Amino acid sequence: MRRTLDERPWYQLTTHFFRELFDFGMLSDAGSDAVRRMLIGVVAVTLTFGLLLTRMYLGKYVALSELFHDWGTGYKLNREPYHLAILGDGALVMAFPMLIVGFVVVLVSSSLFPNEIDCRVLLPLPVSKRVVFESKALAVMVFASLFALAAHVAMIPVVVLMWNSRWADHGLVAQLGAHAVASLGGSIVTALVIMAVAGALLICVPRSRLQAASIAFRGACLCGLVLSIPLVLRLPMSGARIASGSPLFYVVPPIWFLGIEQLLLGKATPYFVRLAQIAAGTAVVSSAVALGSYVFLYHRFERVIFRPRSGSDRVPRERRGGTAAIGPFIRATLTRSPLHQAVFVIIAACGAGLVLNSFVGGWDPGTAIWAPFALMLVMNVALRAALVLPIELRANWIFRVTEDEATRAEELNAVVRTMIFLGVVLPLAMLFPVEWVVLGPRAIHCTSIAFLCGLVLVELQMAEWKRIPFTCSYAPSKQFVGLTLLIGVAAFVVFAAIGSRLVSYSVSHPVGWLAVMAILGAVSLYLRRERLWVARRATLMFEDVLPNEVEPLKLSEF
Amino acid sequence: MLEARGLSKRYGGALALDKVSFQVHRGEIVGYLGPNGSGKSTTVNIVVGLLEPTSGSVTLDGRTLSEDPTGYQNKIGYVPEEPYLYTHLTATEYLTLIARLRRLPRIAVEKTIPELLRLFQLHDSRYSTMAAFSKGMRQRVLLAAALLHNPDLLVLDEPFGGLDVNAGLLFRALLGMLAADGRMILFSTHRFDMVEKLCSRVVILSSGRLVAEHDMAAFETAGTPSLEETFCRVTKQADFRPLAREILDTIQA
Repeated sequence: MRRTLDERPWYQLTTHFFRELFDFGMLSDAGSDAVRRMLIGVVAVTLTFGLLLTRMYLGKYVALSELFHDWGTGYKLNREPYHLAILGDGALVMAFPMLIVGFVVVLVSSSLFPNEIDCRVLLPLPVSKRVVFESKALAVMVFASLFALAAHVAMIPVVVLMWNSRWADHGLVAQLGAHAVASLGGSIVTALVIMAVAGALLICVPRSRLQAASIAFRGACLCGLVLSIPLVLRLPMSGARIASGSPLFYVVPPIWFLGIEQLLLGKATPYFVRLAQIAAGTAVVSSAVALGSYVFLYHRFERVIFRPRSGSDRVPRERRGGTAAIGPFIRATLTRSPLHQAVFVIIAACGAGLVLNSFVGGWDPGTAIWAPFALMLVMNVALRAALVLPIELRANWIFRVTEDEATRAEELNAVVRTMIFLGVVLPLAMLFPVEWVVLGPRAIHCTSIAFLCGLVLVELQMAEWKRIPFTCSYAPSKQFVGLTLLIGVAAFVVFAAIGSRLVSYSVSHPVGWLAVMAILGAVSLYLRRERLWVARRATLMFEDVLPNEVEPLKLSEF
Repeated sequence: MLEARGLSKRYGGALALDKVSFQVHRGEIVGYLGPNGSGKSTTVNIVVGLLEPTSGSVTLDGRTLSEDPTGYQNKIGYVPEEPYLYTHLTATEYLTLIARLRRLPRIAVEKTIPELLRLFQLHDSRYSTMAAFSKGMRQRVLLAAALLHNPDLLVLDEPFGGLDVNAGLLFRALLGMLAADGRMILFSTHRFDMVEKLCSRVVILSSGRLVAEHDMAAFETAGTPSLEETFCRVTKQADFRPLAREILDTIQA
């Protein structure tokens, strides 16, 4: 008897794995919903960006199609600016889907291959190992294709606008075809490269270090993708450089696929051939490694997936009770939960991008003084945003039944310690070498003032904090989004401005530096004491509350 | 002794628990039986301090939760109905977290946790995050967590769900020994067989009210209705045989 599609094991398993890619297999229902919303948000942003880009380019391409140039023999139509613009903009519309696909595949990088749970749960069932592996691969392909397709659909209006010009060398259909082949190829290769690295890690790294390696890989990729956004946005201005055959673009993946597109359109210059060769080479290597990883895992999954984990039984040196309990819990969650890690890394990378971008113009001392404050503020916001998101909310009963007045302040203080380490010490340590290069020994003044300003910032931010991270429900949009943004921008400007002024003053007045240090130190100690006083008396918060003040409409006053 | 006096709990307008009183003495395993929605989990949540009663009080060795929150909580070990735990942690990390939240001495972390993991047959999986654990394995982690601080009162809300036969037998024996050692055990369940084999007394709840309380020895007297019959009578359960017959007829048709 013929079985319908949804009765076939491979179809059911593919559907199961596809859905699983949206919840990472370890999040609570609320966490899965948050990830789904985030991924739907990615699609929405993609489509909006496509429309916005079309609107922006409309004027540009109308103007380009009407360009005239005086060549000395009278006015003549000039197609050169159009061709340069097409190269730059073509690179952008190719890079954007690659970025989107890269982002979503990195987010699910821990679920790209069948894992221990899949094998333990599925293999005892009447399902062959082959079906499990094929279904997983198919689900990953469908998942990546879905986002690649959404990104390409978003780019259709702008692509049509670009090539529907009097200066176009080929018909619209031919151009669209060449672009689709090259751009889809670029997106697929992006996914394959991430799969290849994830597969290589899974096979090569000892199991005791696999988690740390995967976390480092995911964090680095997310950070790299966010940092590449400003570079991608500069691509439209790179038309002339691409046309001149700049070797710089041999390391820019979207340009490789631009080379393929140009080849397909018949422009077989040595430069484009070289770019296309790099693209083809990357595609072959990444496909081989990704496929090889699947095949290797398929044949050796007992040894690779079920190999015994090893680790250390050593118990970390115990500090005070609250810190000892909460610190490792925060670390484990931030490093293992893709959602929390993504929130922290993406927002923090925005700050890093902002700082890097301001250094692009040169090693300006003013920027070097401003940068630590900007980075600290953004990383504090990033960390706080990650800490308020819950994980396995219903598991918080253990914190509720062990809440103890004697250790509450210590537990909350452990959160502040994490904030200080990741939001103050880490950005300052990352920036110190740059500061030293730009400011010389004055970097010590700058960093010391920035450190104390960072402590004050953390104390102010955490003054009313009453949650064990990840254990409290989260009610988003408690206040108007515009107001939140306004407060954020105002805080950024005020904090960076005050901090920079304090550093500038301290650098030129050594005694003043000591005075500023003393004042900031005293303020941070005072705020700390106040915070601990509140923490000892407040009860822990496990339910997020909306502002309960009722705002009367005062209609009678109108 | 655990003593619940006149416990009532309202959720909005709905009365989930209506003046329920019972006691659990040292060395006793008290079965807490009731149909779904009868208020068993509400009682358990009040006893462990996760919910506040609308009225009434719970005392453990004469002290209420509000008088000595830390002392009260440290005397209780709790196993929730569903294995709610942080699955991104390993079993060792989860037990270490609990040991530190309960401020247990370092020896508990270094010696007791590995030993408990070995005894509960979780030692081989100690480096895996609990996301890879079956329900039974998670239930064993929760039982280990409940016993970690050597509590005086063990509150078990359907603890045998997901456990295999061997683990079930082990826990039955363990609970018997804990009671013999003078611990109090409040055992909330749906299963008559477990209550009959384990408990010394049974408290039956229906629609938020305590409708019966018996020593288990009473059911052993000849001519006395069984626990199941008593339960059906006091909770006014219908005779399920006609319904079972109807289901059988349906599947046979």
